[in-house]
Amino acid sequence: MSWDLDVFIEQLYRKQLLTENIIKELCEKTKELLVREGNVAQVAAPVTLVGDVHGQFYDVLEIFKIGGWAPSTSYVFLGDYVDRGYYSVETITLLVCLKLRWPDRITLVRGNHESRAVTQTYGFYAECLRKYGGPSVWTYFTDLFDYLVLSVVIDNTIFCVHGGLSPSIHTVDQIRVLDRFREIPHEGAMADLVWSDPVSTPTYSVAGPLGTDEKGDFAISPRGAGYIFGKEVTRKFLEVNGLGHICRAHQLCMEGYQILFDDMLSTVWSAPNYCYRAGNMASVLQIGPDLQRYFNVFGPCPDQDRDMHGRDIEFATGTDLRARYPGPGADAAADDPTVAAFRKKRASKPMVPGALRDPFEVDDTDFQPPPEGNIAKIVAQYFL
Amino acid sequence: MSDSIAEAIKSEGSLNALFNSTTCGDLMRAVDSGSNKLASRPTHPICLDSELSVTEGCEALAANKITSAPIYDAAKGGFVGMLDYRDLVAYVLSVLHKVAKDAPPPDATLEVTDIVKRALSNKGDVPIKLISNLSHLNPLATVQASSCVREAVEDFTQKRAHRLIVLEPDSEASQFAGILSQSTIAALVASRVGKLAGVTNPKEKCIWPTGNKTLEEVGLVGKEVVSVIPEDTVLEALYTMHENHLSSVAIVERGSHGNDLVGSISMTDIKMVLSARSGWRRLYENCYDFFTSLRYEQGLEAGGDDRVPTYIVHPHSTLIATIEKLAATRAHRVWICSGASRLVGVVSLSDIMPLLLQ
Repeated sequence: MSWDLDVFIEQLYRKQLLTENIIKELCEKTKELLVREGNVAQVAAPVTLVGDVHGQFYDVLEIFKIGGWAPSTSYVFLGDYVDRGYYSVETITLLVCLKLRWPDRITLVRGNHESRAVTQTYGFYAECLRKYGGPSVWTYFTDLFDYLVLSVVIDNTIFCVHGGLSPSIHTVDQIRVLDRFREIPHEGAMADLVWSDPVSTPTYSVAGPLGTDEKGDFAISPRGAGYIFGKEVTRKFLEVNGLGHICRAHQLCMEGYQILFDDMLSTVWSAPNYCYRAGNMASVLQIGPDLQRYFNVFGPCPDQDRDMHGRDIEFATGTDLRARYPGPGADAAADDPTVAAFRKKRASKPMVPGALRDPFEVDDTDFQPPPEGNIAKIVAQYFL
Repeated sequence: MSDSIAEAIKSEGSLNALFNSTTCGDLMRAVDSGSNKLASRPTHPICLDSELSVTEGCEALAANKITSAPIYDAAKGGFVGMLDYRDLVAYVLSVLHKVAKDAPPPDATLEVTDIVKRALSNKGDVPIKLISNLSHLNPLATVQASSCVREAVEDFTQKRAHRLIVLEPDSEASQFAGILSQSTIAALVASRVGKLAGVTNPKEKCIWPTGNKTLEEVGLVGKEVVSVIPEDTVLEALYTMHENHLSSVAIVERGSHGNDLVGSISMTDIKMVLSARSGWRRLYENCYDFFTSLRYEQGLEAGGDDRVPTYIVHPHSTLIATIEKLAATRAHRVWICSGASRLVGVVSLSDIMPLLLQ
């Protein structure tokens, strides 16, 4: 087979697996690309942030349907591409191809599941074994994971990471000098960045005659790696680094997203109905050219458009996936009760650009899309 | 924590000041903030009626996320023993032992209770009072709420119990105030002298000198760790634990240079066998698959927060850091690995109790 990324991407949109040899080559080429990227990627707005997807391939397609297909929309994926879902291989292969094809439009951040020990426990290794008969594909991908960047800064204002903060990291420059090309260690800065969680109240109450920069605002995480951290630590990190907001993933949010610490930090979660049983919504964070933040919430892909576990629907070759997912105007999901209920919930309140709003409270019939067409067009048409 | 206690710890070089100034009753009243989604304590003490069946007892432990509860006999009007997962495992092993070794695995639709019927010729559900302390590792040990914590630590060290029943005597009879476990003691130490407790500057050393020693220095590294391989069945793993009087085994890949830790199984995992329908079939699964499905479920139960596959520390980790990790994860043990996964030891709360007295 001749090397053609567009052909590979088209196959992957149809959920066709690529051969082992092609995957090996893809991973080699992507490593060459990633080795030149620093630990902290600089990305310009407008951009859409995607949280954990965990192998939920059909929901990744939903994300592209809602947010815009690559490369028209610029994306930052915050990690946890594999494990738990049934299609981790297809998901990660697609994202790697998109990265290779449009390196300036796709950024892939490392999550705690992009690790050998974790993927052996939570399903990716077993899936590779099942789909390819051996562990080679798993080896290629886990070697590639060692090259993923650790964090992103958007327009010097929004700091993005998979997990959270570390007591060893006070400045973004400290992240730049880490050696990231290795397996995630059990402890240390790299482990903390992918495992930590914010909590409203740390486990230990602050006591003792210490200065504000020495408050015990980190506590050991019950997950067994990383820390839990509070509001003061977050404020300090933003101040010291001249940043405005932290966006991260790593934790399930029933509404698809969560805003903490007076909007200093937010969590975005992009795997709806997690593990096909949690019943949660998902979202992507759409950042406009002036850094307006909007959580675009969506539910699980309608069942008639996806195959259930164990029942594979054959896609005819040459089928344009966009024909199966009708664009704006055709109400493909009208029969799906969950999406219909979701749409009915909209109340009528004017949308204020530049502020975060609960999408259930937005009436955007009067929405003026920003000059950059694509994201806004799809968002507006999705709602109408 | 008041400065005088901190000063006393520094000058004496031991935790006696802390232990002697806190009573067991105080610990029972300490509030768990609930931010720990992975393992939170029940808000009120749980005890089990002695007539509950094995399945019901196991479900009660699992539902409340505890590993042990005292058994109360209403007829006798008092506690007759403790039930924990080790007793349930001992029970399952003893029942299955009655099945001939070369007989095929029993029919998939039978429950444990039906096996018991077969094995014990038509007796009904076995009440838990009969399997209380079947493992002989779970004696009924009590302590008064007014006793200081030091007594509890001494009990843990000398009696080798894992938990104590705290009694609060009132005018009529002894009132069950709660269970004092080794985890509670670890949480107390972590919250008062831990590096992250906000009491001292994390950049300075712990005020308790022994806490600053590494695990290697206190002699916890290098002892042989009982392990099984991924292909061993769950039943074999439970048998190994039972014979070695342990509540957990490591699952390792054996190599020429040592063993690589890939997972672990503990006796509390028996709840997946006993409380699920036809769950006992899982005893014949290979233990690594059982371990991964357990982690999968645990992540979902914790609201989607996946944990590391195995809790690990290093030979050069300090004792206080290890105690803080045990307290935060509410685990009973952590594995000591050198490098990425080379298993060189294990440290459990039982190992730590005697060190707290130093």
